[in-house]
Amino acid sequence: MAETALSVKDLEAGYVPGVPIVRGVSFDLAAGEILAVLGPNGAGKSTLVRAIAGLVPRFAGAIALGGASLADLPPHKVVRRGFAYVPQVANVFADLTVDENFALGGYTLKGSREAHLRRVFDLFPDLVAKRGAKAGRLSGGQRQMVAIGRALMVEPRVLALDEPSAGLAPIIVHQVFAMIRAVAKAGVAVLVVEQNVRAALATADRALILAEGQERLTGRAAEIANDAAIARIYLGGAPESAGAGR
Amino acid sequence: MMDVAAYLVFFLCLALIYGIACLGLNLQWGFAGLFNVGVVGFFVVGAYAVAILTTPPHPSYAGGFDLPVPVGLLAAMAAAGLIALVVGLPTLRLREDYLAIATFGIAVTLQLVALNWESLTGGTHGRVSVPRPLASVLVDRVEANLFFLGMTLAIVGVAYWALERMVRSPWGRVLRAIREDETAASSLGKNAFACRLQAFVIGAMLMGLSGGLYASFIGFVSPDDALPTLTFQLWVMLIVGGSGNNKGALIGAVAVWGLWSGSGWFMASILPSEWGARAGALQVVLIGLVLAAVLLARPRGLIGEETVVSRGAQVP
Amino acid sequence: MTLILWLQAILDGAVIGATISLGAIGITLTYAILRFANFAHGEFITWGGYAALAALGTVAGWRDVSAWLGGPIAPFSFGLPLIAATIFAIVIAVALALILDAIYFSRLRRAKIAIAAVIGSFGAALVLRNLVVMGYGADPEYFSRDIQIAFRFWPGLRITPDQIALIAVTAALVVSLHLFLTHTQLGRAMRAVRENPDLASVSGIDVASVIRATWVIGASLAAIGGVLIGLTIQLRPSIGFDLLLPLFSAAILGGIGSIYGAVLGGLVIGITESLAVLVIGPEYRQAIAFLVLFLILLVRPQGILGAKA
Repeated sequence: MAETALSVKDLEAGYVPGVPIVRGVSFDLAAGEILAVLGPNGAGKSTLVRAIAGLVPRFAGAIALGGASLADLPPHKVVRRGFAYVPQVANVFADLTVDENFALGGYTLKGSREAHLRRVFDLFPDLVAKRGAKAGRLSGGQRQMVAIGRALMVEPRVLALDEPSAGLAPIIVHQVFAMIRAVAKAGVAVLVVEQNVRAALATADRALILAEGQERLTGRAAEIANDAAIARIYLGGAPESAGAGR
Repeated sequence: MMDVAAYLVFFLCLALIYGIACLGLNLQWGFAGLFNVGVVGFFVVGAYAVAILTTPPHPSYAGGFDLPVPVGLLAAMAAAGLIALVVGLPTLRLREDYLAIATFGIAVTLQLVALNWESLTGGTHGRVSVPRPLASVLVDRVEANLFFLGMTLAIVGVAYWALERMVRSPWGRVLRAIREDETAASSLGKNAFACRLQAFVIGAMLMGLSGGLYASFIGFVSPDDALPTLTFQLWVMLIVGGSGNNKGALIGAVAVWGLWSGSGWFMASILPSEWGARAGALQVVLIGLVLAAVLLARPRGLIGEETVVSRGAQVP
Repeated sequence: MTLILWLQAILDGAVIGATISLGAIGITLTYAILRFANFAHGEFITWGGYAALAALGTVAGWRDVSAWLGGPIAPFSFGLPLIAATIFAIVIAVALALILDAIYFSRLRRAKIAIAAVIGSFGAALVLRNLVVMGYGADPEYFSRDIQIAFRFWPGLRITPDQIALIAVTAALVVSLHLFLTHTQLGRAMRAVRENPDLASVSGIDVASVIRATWVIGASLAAIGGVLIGLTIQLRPSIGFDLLLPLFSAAILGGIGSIYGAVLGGLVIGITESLAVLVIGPEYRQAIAFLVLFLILLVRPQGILGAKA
């Protein structure tokens, strides 16, 4: 049984006190496991991840990473504990070069960043030629790689991605999810919020389905993918067509 | 006893004059959310307009058309409104801080004009002998002050009534919508900009009216009336009284003017006269600290914004 | 109007422009990172200048220290005493900025009413300026009563050694700042926070300490600017406030957030003012800065080196 990397219990969070968007969500995430967070628009998927990252106020509940509590920590301390977050939009420093983006990803590292930089560029060899380019000038797929690479610089225990496939061509989506699998294989626990249900369920080990801020279902991804009833109720139709590339 | 009453009349006149400027600022900031950091500029333009137009002819200075005070006041409003139009047209579309800097700039520029354009403004000497309305009839000082107080009260009343109607109108609704949600407002497109410009100009006209009344009341305008201290005083009056609240603007004006005059008196009586400029500086420091604290404690004002119900709204 | 007069005006304008640049850099940084127009920035300049004056006065009273530090280093009118005094000025200005932010500006920012911080800074400026009047009165002060002999380096063109020092110091500071922002983690972090505070936060950057660093840099440059102004012109309680309009104009002209923009803006404003003074006299100096500002807002509000929003 792999160790629990992230443990969330009865989490309530939102922007306005008294108006929680996440209304009591619990889940555990094991090292090397990929958990897909799915659900209709407005379900609170992004807010859930942002709350764990520290960007959204938490009203109640517990968040523990490797046993230590994250619930009262501001974002810059959350990442120091090993939780790296990649937002959906504005996820790179557009005005800074790829090199500078990665350097900032390694802001909390003590000592030399060289080894970490090498490992990240090994994951994204296409970016080596673009090191000096401003991140804002890159293509959508390359920007996404910079965004993920920036998060991986600290070699986090948990990597959280908010709709990493959004706006990307299918072949790039394929690459992104292959990379997610590689990262998980290296022992990182991965949390993926996604609208592209098919790709998410094909990659993930387990899935958590949210609606209206509460969890409706948790289970093995393969089972959920094959269950037409669940697909109809929560995911907008047959799994094969649910969220298939737009 | 007469002295106290006479002083009170004098005090109230000035407080209400500033109150009118405060109403203008409330329209710009409280209702339209516009940053005017150069309030004194619009005030002083009105003051000089009245001075130049209503004074008798003078050998060295321009103007001196000896026009009646009401004409001067109208000109004061027009001048201030025109300046607001010129400054507002390019800057109201930009981020709010830029309006703050632009209005600050126009106030500084107008102060320089007041200081240096001697033939028009009298330079450092300023313009004197600015007449009161009905000066030839009301010779007695006390009578004249009482009349001015009455006149100012009437003007305040009219302005208050007009503003209250305006903010409860559809126009006022649009204004508040723009202030609260810029994005939603921009979907209204052109209307949003026109509304804000109107609020800006009308507010400025009130400030010009205030300055014109000031010139007529005191009888004398100089570049000292163009200092940024007045901008700060008026903002504090609005903050203390409650932005978004016309009653609050007037109450704030009286309260803060009372505090300022009172402390000035107090300083003068307890500090040795050799202090000179330092005494004035100390007064500004103390008041500034008190009022900076108020801003920290209640940024929306001590009275706070009243809930405005528009005409025609269905209230359950 | 002979060519030499114009050239001299440009030279004088460049000297003034350099000082404006130092202040404008601070304004552009705080504006870009803190998102508010700080009307109290001028007072960091004033307080820096007067703090140096106070330090010099104190040192002059201590015989031993005074003798040890020595006198002016030829050809300049200043020596170690002023340099030591400048360090003191920086400490005072930085302390002032950090305290103001901690007890006042940060709380006003949290109120989320945008004008509150601006009006608060305006009021703070009023208070700070009048505190100087209380301490020193309203008359001008000077670091030294000696008249400087100017270099003549072209028939009719002159510049004093102190002015050369001013330009050299400004250039050195600007280059150092650029290197800092591009080659250090803290510098990169500042650029990151300027662009996207949330993303910076989740990268591990403590935005609060970046904000503090911004104040430190802005106030330090302002303090040095105050000393340089006191050195080459004079000290008055209103020097900082009178510079606000040129500072804002320079920062906006150059493009908010751009260091080189602030330098460029400062030089443009300084030279334009100087040339205009030749034509219309010195009384309307500040109005020139406003005119430039107005034109820029009309034509290209994002500034010369700024990106279109």
